[in-house]
Amino acid sequence: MTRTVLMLALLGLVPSIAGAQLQEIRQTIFGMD
Amino acid sequence: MRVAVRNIDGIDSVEVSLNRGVVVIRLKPENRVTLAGIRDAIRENGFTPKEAEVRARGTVLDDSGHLALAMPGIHVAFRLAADSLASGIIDELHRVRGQDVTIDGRVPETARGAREPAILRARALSGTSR
Repeated sequence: MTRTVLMLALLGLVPSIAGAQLQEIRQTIFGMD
Repeated sequence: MRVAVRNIDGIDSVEVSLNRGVVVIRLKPENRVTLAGIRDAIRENGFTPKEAEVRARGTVLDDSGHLALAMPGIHVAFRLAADSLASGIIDELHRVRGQDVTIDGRVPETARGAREPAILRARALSGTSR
């Protein structure tokens, strides 16, 4: 189980344990497609 | 788009300014939000996410010779580089390897579905634990 979760994390498929914690995002966006 | 982003777990507030072309998102403590997830939600609403300015907390580590920001031992969230206005910050980042820090910086546009960690161009460093 643990190994499976770690494998998924390495593949970036488990956002709950993947990645540093973001506090604020100012995201520039461009027009409508 | 505001509703779509607001519905993501861990979002505290969302402000959308179409005139300025920017979405400002504040996140709750202990959130598990990823920038890729935010960008996907924006794309699904017909917009193209470009560069972002972010404030992120994590552990600075050495990932095969590259500085990275990560949850300890699990996953590289961002590769770290210096912002063009903060060239000396790389030395500071090397000094805080293994520590939890807060980093302000820019994340350039990324391709949809990119598997590589995005690059965070660090401009300021704060909240070192030692």
